[in-house]
Amino acid sequence: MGFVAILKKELKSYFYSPIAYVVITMFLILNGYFFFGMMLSFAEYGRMALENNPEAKININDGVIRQLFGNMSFVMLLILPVLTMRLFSEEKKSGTFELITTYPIKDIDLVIGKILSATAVLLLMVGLTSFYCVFMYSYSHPDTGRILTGYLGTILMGVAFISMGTFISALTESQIISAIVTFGILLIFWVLGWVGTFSSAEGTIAEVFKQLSMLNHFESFGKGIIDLSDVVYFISFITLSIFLTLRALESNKWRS
Amino acid sequence: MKKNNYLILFFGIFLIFSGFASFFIQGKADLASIIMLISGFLITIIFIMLNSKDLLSLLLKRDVKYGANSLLMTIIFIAILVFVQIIVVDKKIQFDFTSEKIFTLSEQSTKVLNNLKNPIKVMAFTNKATEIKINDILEIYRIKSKMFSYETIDPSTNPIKAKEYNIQVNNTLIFFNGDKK
Repeated sequence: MGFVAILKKELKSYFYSPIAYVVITMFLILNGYFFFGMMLSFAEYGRMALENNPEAKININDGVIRQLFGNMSFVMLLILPVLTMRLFSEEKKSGTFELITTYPIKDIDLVIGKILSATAVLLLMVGLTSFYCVFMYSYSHPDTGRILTGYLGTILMGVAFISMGTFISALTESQIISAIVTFGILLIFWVLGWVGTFSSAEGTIAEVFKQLSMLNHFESFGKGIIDLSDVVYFISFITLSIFLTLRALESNKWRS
Repeated sequence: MKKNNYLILFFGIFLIFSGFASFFIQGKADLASIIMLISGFLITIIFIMLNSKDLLSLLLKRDVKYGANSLLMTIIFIAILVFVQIIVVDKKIQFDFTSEKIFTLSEQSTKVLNNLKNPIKVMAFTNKATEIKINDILEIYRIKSKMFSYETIDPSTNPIKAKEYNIQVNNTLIFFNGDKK
């Protein structure tokens, strides 16, 4: 259980400094704005539909919930690299990285502690958006199953972002480079599925790109479906990032 | 050996890779990819022959050894993950958590799908507003049966196709059974 010490230390540096509060606030402002807009347009659309046809069945699930999680994950894409950029880069810059490698802590505990600390901030951040559900439940009948799968997908994707950010952070001592490279890589993984639609590539190649794309694996969570291949994709992404981080840390010992 | 010389080696390897990439993306070997492949191999082989002594001593260095080890481990790890993913994608295991089970097919429909003899293709002419909904539904069928495929077309951005099938109103579905319409 060596990661607990690291987790505590990292949580302290997130919450004793303004970082976590600023990140969470910006995340909530952006999402609140999107949620407000979606609810407003949904209400307008519902009113129009009822005027034309009083029997119309208006569904908040397609109108709001799906877009809500889509928007949330995109805001995460912009914000989480900022959260993870300091994890290793800061230690390298300030020289405490050499110190930490001499502690009686395994590399794996170090990495997991760091990832869990950012995940804790993520959970708090995403958890606070459950306020939206209070509004949805009080004015409509949203589908609980759909909301839960949406949250599951969002959190899986968020942890995938964090673990990739941790890996990039372990490679460089500049926080800016760490953030921008993480953002770039995640954005590429996000839109990789589009290769199939904007080129003449078809069949196997388009399918391979689709399988690599985060967006394609995120879609069904918003619909209320849990597809095993999506869950496995995100877990693979996370384990691969942890594995690569371990290799990067190990390389400090033999690199000349 | 000067450090800059390695650039030539990297250039050769880069040519080989881009040759392969263009070959795989186009699906056929055209002149450009063949030229890239051949010149890439030539540059690489000539470079290795000319500098074999230096390269050999480089390979015995400590960090090259550890680096290669690390790289190999990473490749094996990725291969395992890809293997698992391929298996899981092939199995198509889905759990429907919507309260009305809207993404679960009835037994009747599943039976019909399993008994399909000819490949069924659906062309859906829709606009942006309804595309997502129609896609959702057609996707369930596609996942369940290998004989079923679909394509969505927006007549306003692809009017030629719409004219070809003589589409007058939006949200028209055309079913193809084998080649028959």
